[in-house]
Amino acid sequence: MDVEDYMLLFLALWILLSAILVGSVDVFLTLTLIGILITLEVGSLFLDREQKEGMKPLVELLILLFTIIVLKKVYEVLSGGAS
Amino acid sequence: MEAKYISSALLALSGGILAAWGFIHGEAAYINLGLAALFLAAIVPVFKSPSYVKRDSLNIMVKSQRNLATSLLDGLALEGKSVYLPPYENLPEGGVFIPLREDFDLDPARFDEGSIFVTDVPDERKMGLLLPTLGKELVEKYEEHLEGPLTSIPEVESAAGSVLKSLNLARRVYIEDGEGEVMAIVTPDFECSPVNCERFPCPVCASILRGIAKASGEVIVVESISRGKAGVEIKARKMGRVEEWM
Repeated sequence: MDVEDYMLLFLALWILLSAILVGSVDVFLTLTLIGILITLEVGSLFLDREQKEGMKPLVELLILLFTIIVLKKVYEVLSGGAS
Repeated sequence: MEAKYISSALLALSGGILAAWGFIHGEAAYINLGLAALFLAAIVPVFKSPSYVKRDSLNIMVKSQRNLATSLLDGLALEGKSVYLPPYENLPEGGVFIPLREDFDLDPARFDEGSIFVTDVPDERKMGLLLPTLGKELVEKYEEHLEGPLTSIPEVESAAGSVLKSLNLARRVYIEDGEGEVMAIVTPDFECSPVNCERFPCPVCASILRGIAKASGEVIVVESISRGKAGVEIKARKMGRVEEWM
């Protein structure tokens, strides 16, 4: 197996375990983002530019979703504190 | 159609169905599984390399290219060790020059991208073979990795190490920059026994030397390329800037 295969295997296991073990969609999305960022950081030596560029849209989408999740939580805290 | 695209399409389809079913029935577990499959559908084609060449095939190809180069150099009676030119006006991407004689002299003003045989010179010591493209693609890859031009030798070491590792061509690249000389150690990931590499190196060593010439802005002359304990040891001398040879 190639290093890329190990990275893909790790990421697949991370995402699947997160999906199965976590009950909330918000936490699952956050864990997926963390898993992808860890893989890209640790494995950056073995990935060429095209592969890194290919992952960018997914990372950007997950960062956007993460921002929405954080804003939602902030709003919940603030609105809970006001009442 | 490649297997990775088929598996990606199947993952996307099953993920879409699972996510939709979970969303309709308000089941977070199914939504998560559906999204997981959709994410993996996006990741699989990106991570999986398009195709591979067998290592044995690469060794055979490299060997046959080396034999061709050796017979070409012997046929042309080129005795000098290869000289690496940094980019300058005539050669915007730099180049590799194999002089006719060991006690060579350079006339960079007569070089250009279209000329291969440098014979139109008054002195035999300035004659030789010009190879503007040897190792060029790998240097481009190094610069792609850096997202900018090579400007220092540590940058060459870092970029060459990363790119050659990702291409499974070398496990390690180490460059020691000294006063007037430079030494590089490459641990190749393929069968490599340096023969005649001082005159005509493989694209891996050529790209590293070319990168050093580009980063330092100096003409680099190979002294020796031999097999050491840690890998292939490349010893080279810095011969000053191109302008000094004009």
